[in-house]
Amino acid sequence: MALLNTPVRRTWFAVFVVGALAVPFFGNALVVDLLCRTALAVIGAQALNLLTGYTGLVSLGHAGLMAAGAFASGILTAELGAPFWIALPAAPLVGGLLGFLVGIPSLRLKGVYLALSTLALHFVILYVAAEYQSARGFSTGLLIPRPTLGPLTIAGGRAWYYTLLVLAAATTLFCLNLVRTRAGRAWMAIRDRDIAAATTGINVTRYKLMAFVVSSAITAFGGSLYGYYAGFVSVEAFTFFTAIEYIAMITIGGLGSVLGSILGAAFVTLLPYGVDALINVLPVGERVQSHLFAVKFGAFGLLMALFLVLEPRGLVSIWSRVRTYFDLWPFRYHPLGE
Amino acid sequence: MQVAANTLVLASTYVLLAVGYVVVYRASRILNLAHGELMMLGGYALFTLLSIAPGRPLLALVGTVVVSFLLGTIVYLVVMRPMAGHPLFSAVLVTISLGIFFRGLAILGWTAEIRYPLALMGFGTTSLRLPGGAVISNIDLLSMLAAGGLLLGLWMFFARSRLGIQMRATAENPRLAAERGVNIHLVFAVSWGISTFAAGLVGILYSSQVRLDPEIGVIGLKAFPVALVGGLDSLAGVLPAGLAIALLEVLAIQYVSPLLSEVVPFLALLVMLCVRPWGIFGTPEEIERV
Amino acid sequence: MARSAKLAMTMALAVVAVALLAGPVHASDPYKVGVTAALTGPASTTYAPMIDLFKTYLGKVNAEGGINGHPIQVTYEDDRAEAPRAITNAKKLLEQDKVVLLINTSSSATFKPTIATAKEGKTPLLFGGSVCPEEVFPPADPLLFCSTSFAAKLDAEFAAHFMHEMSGGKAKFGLAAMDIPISRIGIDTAEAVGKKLGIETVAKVVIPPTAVDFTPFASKLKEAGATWGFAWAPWPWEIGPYEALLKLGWQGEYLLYGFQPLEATFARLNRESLFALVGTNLLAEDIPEIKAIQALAAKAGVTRIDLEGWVTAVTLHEALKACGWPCTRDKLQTVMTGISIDFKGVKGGPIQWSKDNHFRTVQYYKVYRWDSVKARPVVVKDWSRVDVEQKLKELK
Repeated sequence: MALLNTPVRRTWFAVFVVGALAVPFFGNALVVDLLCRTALAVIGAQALNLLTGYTGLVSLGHAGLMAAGAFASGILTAELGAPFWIALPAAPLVGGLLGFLVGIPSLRLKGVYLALSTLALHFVILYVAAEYQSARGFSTGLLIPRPTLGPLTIAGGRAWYYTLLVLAAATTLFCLNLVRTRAGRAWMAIRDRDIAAATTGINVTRYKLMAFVVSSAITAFGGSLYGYYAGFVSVEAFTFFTAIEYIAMITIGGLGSVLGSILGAAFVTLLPYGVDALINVLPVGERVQSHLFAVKFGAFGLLMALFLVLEPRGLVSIWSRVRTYFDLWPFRYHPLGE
Repeated sequence: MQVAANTLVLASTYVLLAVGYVVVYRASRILNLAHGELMMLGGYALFTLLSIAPGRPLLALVGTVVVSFLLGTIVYLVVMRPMAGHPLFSAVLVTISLGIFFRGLAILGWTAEIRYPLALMGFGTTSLRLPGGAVISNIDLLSMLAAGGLLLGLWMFFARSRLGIQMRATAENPRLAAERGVNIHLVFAVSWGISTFAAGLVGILYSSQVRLDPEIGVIGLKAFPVALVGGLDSLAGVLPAGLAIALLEVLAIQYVSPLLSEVVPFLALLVMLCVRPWGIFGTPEEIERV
Repeated sequence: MARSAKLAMTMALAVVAVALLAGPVHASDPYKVGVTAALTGPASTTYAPMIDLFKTYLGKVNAEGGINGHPIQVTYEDDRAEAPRAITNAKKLLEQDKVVLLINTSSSATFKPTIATAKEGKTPLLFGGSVCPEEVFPPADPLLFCSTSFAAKLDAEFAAHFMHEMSGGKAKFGLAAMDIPISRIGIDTAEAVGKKLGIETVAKVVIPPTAVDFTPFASKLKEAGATWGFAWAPWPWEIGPYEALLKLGWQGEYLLYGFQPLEATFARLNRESLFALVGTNLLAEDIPEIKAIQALAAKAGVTRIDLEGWVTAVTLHEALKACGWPCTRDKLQTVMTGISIDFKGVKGGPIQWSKDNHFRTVQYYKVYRWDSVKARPVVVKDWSRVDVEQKLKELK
């Protein structure tokens, strides 16, 4: 329990857990659905954060990897009739393999060039998936039945909420621990200055590949879960914009921070609905109603841009400023001698 | 011969778009992923000007390119300038968010209806027969002339004019240039202006030839690999890259599979990244941070 | 005046202002309906105009006293043609707004999630303006209905027969689609039916959504020697290859499904080689109901009249009228299963649903082409009946 090493942390964690568990009893179906989607986003964001935030390897292939995971599970379930406990683990395996394959040529590349090779991966995966989908006649997607594990079936908002909550928490814990191990430190060294990392004896190749494999596996896992949650898999659900959303999540949250990924995932998933709710409260006449949707769409982009301009280091930096404020209160600065 | 004609036409669109990416990247090292949306706004500027002043297409055209140029400088001054010093990653994301904002703005201002500015100008597309049996349209010809003209104009601007030389200096080493008295914010603003000017040209040509609606910005993403294959900081590379990728695409459509044409630019990019990551004429550097 | 009194007055005024601005309060309970549509985003050019006319028609219905004396209250949600948003919209409309009917006017990416949510909520789902999914064809899912005039396979089948007829059996097909599954299925059907009729498909082009220039695709069709072109895709991808073919000097004839921008395009291109297959009469026709729709749209400031929106609105109107008051989801579903909806001459005939067939028992098609001398569209083939169930059996 080194993560919760102070009584204050333990108390707040307990409060959070109680709150999270109680939500389905107080919130309506919409809120539960949004939180489920946030949990899915958290899983994906954590994966991307490991690769981009901690190791410094920019990846735009996120949506393609999610699609790969979703299709892996989907094809196994719909075409081969595989049960849940085979189809689901197949996704991270496929993801890991793809991560390895894309990792190798990426060892030579950095920055924008790396981003583009991963983007190429995205297009290639989606092309293959689209061809598959048309060739096999799944015009609107493969239908995935509800996941069953023995006598248990995950169905309905509440069941999914708890399942996804547990899985998101597990992923977060996994990532938190991973970055505190040797691999995590190696990744951070590579991100900061990989030539220096190599001179201190870190096998850059091995750790870069490991980052790709682990990140892609978790991403594919997230994609497969998404397929189960939505009840279907289709190539149209995984667009380039999805990849951008995940990049936005980890950037707005704060690159290289596990907490940042959670905050960013929540922000990006919930912002459109927040904007909707805010604009809906404003009283407007009938004529303007039809323009509202364009306003909401544009407002989302505008708010994201504003946020990035005003707070480029992300939500985490706001969080740590708030925390520091309360820590130091009533002082503004650390007193001398501390 | 038709294949050659199609290649040249497609290449001219790619060249015009890629120039925009390259100019902005050279100046401020930012990938402007809202380029497609800026092109779309250029098209809407043309449409609006034509609607306001119906009988004067020339005025509308001139007005459109002026507005496009100004739009670029405004985007730089309002949005990108405050991002100086912040992680480039965030700057690129800001451009993406701006793209979303522009699309919403377009739907708000002009609804999602498909528009045809050419009809408003009173022109139609006419076919021109070339020797060898190939056929292109008058807009295609204008496209090629515009691409060639822009490249030539920019070359002369950067090689001969005072501001152009200052811009090259700033691209090479911004701090040194600033210390030597170059107004780097002016330089950056002008670079963004040139980039959107090129985008405006594409906007005019595309909306006249094909259509104008809030979603045509997606073609901007297709031109991105062209800029990369040629070298993100190299204007000289844009032409060979544009021609090569256009040729591959046209050949793929004709002889392999029309669907493959979507991934052709990215496949070319992948090959380039394996062989020579910085592009045909780019400066061999590996970017340490995005 | 005392501060607290001032504050109270200000707040009271604010409340009154909000109440006034929020619109009239309906005296009687409304019918609640939910719509998830692609109002912004890539597919909005196709679907947003349908909603404009839909809203206008329902506004008129409410102004005239509503349905069975009750107003109709529609909640619109934008799904941007994205599946995750469609799920959330459907859940919200069903569980928070408690609608009695859900309408989908969006692209096929949103179908599966909307269907899944509607089924879980046991609410009837009407596809109005979106392409009819396979679940509404026999054997139909009890909760899913479709009033949209076009359907990829049936349209393509009719088109293939039409082109065969027009060319005396000598056509060579050149087919164009957009890179979405439903469009590809459409042209694949045309190819298969053509083959059965003894017609060769010399070229098939599937055009990606990011196509910059349609010319290379048109070149392929032209070089292959196609004499009849057929496209079934979102409008820009239907008309794009045709315009490119014209530029190349192609002399063949081209058939497409006539979506809303058709009439403006007919006038703009002024070519007689363009044929359009439609499921609703064109606005140019001198039919009283169409004139009424145009007048209504003009009054409401709707510039783009997409009759599919009107068809959906009328379907909704008739369904609710037949349901009576109070209308529950179960009752509505039962009522819709046997209903026959008349479109007052705008379509070739009524939409008749049955227990197994929620598309319609009879589909009507009409074919127009442009007459440059008369400067208006003329009918090439008047309303033709297609027995849906028989055709579907043939197509299997």
